[in-house]
Amino acid sequence: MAKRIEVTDLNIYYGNFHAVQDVSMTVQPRSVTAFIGPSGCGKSTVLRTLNRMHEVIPGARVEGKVQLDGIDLYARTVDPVSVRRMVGMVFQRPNPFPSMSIYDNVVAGLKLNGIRKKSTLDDACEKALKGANLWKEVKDRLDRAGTGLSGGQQQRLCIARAIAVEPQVLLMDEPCSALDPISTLAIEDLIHQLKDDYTVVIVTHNMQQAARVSDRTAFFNLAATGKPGALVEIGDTETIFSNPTEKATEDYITGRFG
Amino acid sequence: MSAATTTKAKPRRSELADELLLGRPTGRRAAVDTLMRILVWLAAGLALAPLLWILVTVAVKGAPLTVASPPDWTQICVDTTSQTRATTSACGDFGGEPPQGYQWYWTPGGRYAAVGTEFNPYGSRTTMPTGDDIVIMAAEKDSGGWILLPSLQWWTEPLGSSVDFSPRGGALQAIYGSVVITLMCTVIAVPLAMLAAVFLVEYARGSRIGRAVSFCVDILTGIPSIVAALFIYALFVTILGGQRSAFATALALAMLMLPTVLRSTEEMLKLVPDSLREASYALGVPRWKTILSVVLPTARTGIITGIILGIARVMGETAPLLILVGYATNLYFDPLNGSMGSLPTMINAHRTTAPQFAGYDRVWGAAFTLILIVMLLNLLARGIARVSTLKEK
Repeated sequence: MAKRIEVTDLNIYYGNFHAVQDVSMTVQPRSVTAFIGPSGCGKSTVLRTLNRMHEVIPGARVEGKVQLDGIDLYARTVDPVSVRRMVGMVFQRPNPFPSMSIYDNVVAGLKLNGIRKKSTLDDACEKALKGANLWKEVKDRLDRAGTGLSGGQQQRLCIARAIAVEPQVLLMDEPCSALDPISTLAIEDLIHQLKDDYTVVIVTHNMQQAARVSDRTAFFNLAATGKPGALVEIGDTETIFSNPTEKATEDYITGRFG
Repeated sequence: MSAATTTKAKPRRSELADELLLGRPTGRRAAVDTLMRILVWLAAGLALAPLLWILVTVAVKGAPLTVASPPDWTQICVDTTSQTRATTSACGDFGGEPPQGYQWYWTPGGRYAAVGTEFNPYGSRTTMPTGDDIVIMAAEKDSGGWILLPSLQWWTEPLGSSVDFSPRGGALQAIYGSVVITLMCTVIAVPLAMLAAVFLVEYARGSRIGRAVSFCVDILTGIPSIVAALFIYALFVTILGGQRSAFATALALAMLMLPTVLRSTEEMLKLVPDSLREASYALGVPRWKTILSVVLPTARTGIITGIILGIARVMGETAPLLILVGYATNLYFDPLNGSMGSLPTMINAHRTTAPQFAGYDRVWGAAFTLILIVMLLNLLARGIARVSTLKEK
């Protein structure tokens, strides 16, 4: 259920603004890859191109290749909607649908894609909530509003919603930045479990978090203000944090800048 | 503890320390605080007073005919020299020959001429009516001419031929007409307005065509109702050869409702955070389904409120009714042909034809009914919003 992502010569633009330049990397299946780097260096932008969420923003366009097990996601025949079914995403702020109950939130992806059978939905709901470590907390109030949960629970609800459609890859855009340390720990534990089944890519500002959860780390940086962001280096997390090849990475990790 | 440190820092207790200790602002700031509070209360009171005044006036004047009905013809005694109503005993025996200077009059409902008030013989007669009226007349004599019989006729009977001088007859034809015309108008305007709002927010946000449409809608919001009526008259009646009818009116009202509902729906859709749309897209949900299943339900309460406000606005609109459909006192069901009663035109018709007697009560009764219907719609909207809101805990 997990797939390899290969990015080749990726250039991303917002209108005339060149946001990210020449990114090439491979994301290994069944592992956690962390994107780190200073604000505005394009790591979230790169993440969003991996499931074509990038093009939701008017004027945004992409050059280069993103391949999911050899299939180019930006090929003309590929439907962005089906890409997003394969590559799920969890956002920075928990965003459960306020008009839906906890149950409906979890099965939203299935229901809105035409699955109506009650038993299928029930099973998927339980499985996803268990997968997101939320089942015990909410199993008695599945009919209540998802927005009534705490921030950490809401984020796990969003993860449950993302994994309920059984994607190949799970993208997480700073999933813990709006959460307290306890909730963060719960999410990090969850990420550890998720990598058994999914390819996980996580953007984080928290370097300890990157060190804790990821197998591989990619460091992004800006050459200068106003210049496009670029990938500086990618490698095993241990290597990046202990013995990076690039000076910029070392400076960033040791806190000398950024 | 904080007080101790403050006093230590400064030998004299400062205003700030006072404030911290007393828990309320002191000195100039307190005065400004109080002044602002009074101003706000005053403004709220000034805004509320006329609204409450209108409501109470309409309710008091309009309630009698809507929940009860005065009896029909009543014999009252009139002082012919001063043209005022006299006590019944001044005329002597009920129904007999009155003394000099007094005259028996038959008039609709004694309550339209209290003892001592000026009596306008307009619409009254000196000969006795027949039938049931005599029974009612006797009942009214006993109570001094001020009885109101509990009755639902206002809601269940059309006005029919009981015009001007008789308080009999209801307003069903007007209520029916108003409801049907508003319903037709809603059915035409709401889907159009919602689709256009979805287009503006979801598909054309920030684009040139979106701005152009928005601009037109803004202008259309301020269009006077009579201009809309004239436009529909020219288009529907003159050019297309349609009839002056309830449907034509509904078209004109739809023109007035469209921009208000569009605007409010647009604002509500804009309030839906983009993060919800993105969450839905990220689940592999197509755009149209995201709009239907995520965006619209999230904005639901606000959209419903906007629709109800739109309905309330067109419900009391009069100019299109005057121009595009004839007033009727009987129930007519054909929306494409002929006349149809409605509450605003009922007010208008009886304001001019019967300022005294029953017309007075009818005008206020229709006004009260209009307000009641709008209020009911509001309650309904709140009910829908409450029922459809999920419990959080």
